[in-house]
Amino acid sequence: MKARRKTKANGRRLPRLEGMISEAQLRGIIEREAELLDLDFEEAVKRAKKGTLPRTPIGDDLSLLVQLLPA
Amino acid sequence: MPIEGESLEAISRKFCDKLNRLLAKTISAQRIVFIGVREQGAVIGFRQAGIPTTAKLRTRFGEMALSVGLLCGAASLRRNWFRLFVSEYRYTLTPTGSDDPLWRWEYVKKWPRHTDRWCRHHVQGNIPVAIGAHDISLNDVHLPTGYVTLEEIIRFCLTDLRVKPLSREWHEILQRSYSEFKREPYS
Repeated sequence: MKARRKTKANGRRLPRLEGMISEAQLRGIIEREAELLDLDFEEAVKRAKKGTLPRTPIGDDLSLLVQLLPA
Repeated sequence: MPIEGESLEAISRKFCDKLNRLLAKTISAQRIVFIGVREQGAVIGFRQAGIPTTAKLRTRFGEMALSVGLLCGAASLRRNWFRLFVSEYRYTLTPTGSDDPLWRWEYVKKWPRHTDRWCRHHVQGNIPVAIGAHDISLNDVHLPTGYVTLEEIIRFCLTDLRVKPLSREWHEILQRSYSEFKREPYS
């Protein structure tokens, strides 16, 4: 795990993850970014696959991150 | 020269370093980083304190936010040696105060659904388009493009949007980088 430092976002402390991460950490990032869009993990994955996430940097990032989940 | 190395991590890092050097000498000091998952690939983009972010650009039309997202993979060439490829990109430019990007250049290597038939390299945007008596948005169609590199997006920002370059040699830097990248991860 490469949690280098922590910061606050949306009232919650988020671990700053970069580089190679585990699947569990990926799920954590997806979950937290989904929260920033008021979505839960499942809804974010569903919307990413349908291509209906918001056209924002977070929405775009989520669309790409979801593709790193094992099929 | 293609981006090659002993692991997905090594080639993703090399690609990020290259893009960061390019950005720092042309339009932005905002850092691009990668998040990679073994056997799956890596997502590359601007990220600050763990959150996806944008590079803020001062253009002749006011402030705009540049967003970059790339999905990369590692093609195995031989034992413990890989070549980076890009399977998806999305670059957007959004005027400050707007919810929707004005322009979004996108590419997907594979269509998301097997029934999809739209142009995989395309540009969309929150731009009204009049076709005869019909008024549509550029978001309603997938206007075809060629493969768009980050170098070309930067060039567009510097020339048409008149973002102030961060170095006098920006043209040569873009040319050199473009001719290298043209032969590599964009397959």
